[in-house]
Amino acid sequence: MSFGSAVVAALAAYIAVLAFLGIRARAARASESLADFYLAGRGLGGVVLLFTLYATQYSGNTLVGYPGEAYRVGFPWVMSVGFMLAIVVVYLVIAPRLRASSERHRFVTPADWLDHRFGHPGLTRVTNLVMAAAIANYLLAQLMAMGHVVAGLSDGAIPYATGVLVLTAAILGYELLGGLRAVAWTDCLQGILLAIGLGGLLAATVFSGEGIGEATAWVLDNQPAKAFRPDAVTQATWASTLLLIGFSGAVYPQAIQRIFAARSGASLRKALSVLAFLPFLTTLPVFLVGILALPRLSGLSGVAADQVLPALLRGWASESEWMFWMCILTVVGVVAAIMSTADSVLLTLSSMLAKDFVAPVLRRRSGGAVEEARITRIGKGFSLAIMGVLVAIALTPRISLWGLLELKMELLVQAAPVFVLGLTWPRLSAKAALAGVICGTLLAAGLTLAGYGKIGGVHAGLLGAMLNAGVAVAGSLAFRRQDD
Amino acid sequence: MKLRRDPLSHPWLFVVIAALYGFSIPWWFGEERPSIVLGLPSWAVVSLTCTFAVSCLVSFAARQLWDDGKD
Repeated sequence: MSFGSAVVAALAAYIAVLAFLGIRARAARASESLADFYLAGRGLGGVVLLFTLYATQYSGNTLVGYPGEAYRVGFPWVMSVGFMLAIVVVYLVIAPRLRASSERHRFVTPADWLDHRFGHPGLTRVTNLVMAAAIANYLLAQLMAMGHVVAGLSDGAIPYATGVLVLTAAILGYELLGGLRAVAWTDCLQGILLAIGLGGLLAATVFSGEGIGEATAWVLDNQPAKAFRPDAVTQATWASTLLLIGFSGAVYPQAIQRIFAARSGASLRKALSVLAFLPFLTTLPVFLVGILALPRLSGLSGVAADQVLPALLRGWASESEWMFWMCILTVVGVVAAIMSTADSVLLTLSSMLAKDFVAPVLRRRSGGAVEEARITRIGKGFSLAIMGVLVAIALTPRISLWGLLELKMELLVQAAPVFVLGLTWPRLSAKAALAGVICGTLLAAGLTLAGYGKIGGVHAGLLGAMLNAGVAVAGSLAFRRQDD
Repeated sequence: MKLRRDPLSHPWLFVVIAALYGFSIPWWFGEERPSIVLGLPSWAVVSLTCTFAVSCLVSFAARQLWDDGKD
């Protein structure tokens, strides 16, 4: 059996299991309420919560983009272990208070907390819009990654467009059937496949010739800039990335919804206490794969960063039958990682559009309450519409995976001061927070669009977030003085 | 429901985490050729050790410094 046909067969089996889980999740629903569809009835236990946080947080970019970055940047990419952990550090700041508040007030979307904390529709709308734009961009990145990965890893047996269309249809299928319950259950399967995929990568690297020590010695001799101490600008980028990813990753709306969906505070605590170690089992092996690729692929000219993993897998698969099947499992693990992120983002995005943007309009028009089942149906319609638009864009790709991720983070981090300061500093005023989000977003977007993605190694998004927090704090102190 | 205990009420935790993250960036290392320790450049090993210490602290804080009175 050729590598391409084996990938097609493995993916078909995987999609069949996803469909089965979607049908089971549909059968397990208790009602058509928003909390049942979008928060799995607020019943996620510790293990499912851990897997769904893990599978959502680690995307296709982790498995495909990061080995490429390690190959391109060298040892400074060890920062990726730290920045994935930084997200959990920021959870420690926001999750306890957000969880306590959500138990009292039964939030469904992040906007519910914003309304509760600030009672300022303008701030809720603008913050929600920034988050929605950021995660829509992120979802687009996942769709494109699905196409590239299956095309690259199946040796062209599945063309890019077919990969995007078939996997998008699979996601829509189980998500529309079972909502977050289906997403969380499939996340468990995807988390396990991701772990097997990583195990496969590690096994392949261990059994395929030179070890990490030899690779490091080779890099020191042949590409010393990638193994000596990084220069001052790279150090600044390292610090900037820790802060940017830590703060933006923790306010992913889909991550916040999982804080609301936890069965109890105890299940959330247990999940986070294990999540803190997962960068060492996920990002670290992926980083090592990128380093091991340096001597191995050095003879190939024009190997783009995103093609490092496919190039390595094809090489390993030809070494032995055992390695062949390990590589097939890795391919399925990579696809699972991408799909598990895409489904979570899609579900959250549709809930934000239906509940936070459309439901208030319907309420105003009808002059009363709107049935939750109706909002849920509208959300499902949004899921279809969002995927339709994004698939159309994804079929004309022009940008590398890591570039897309950075654009998303630049925007998303502008929501972080509202959540972090709003939860920890009672004096934060709504008007000042709104002014902060607007100033920060304009600065970050303006710099990025003008071609200044980084200044002195510091990301435009982080500069925007610093301005954002500064305006929010100064404005709150000034408004308070005025009120006094 | 009111939080009984919250990691934020332990400022030392975040000071130590910030310090460990600070040392995980190898500004303190010289410009000489690094020696290889455990297969990696020595500064990368120190960086990973600092990061692992942060993992341990975060895990400890999630289990021991966060109490919503429901266990």
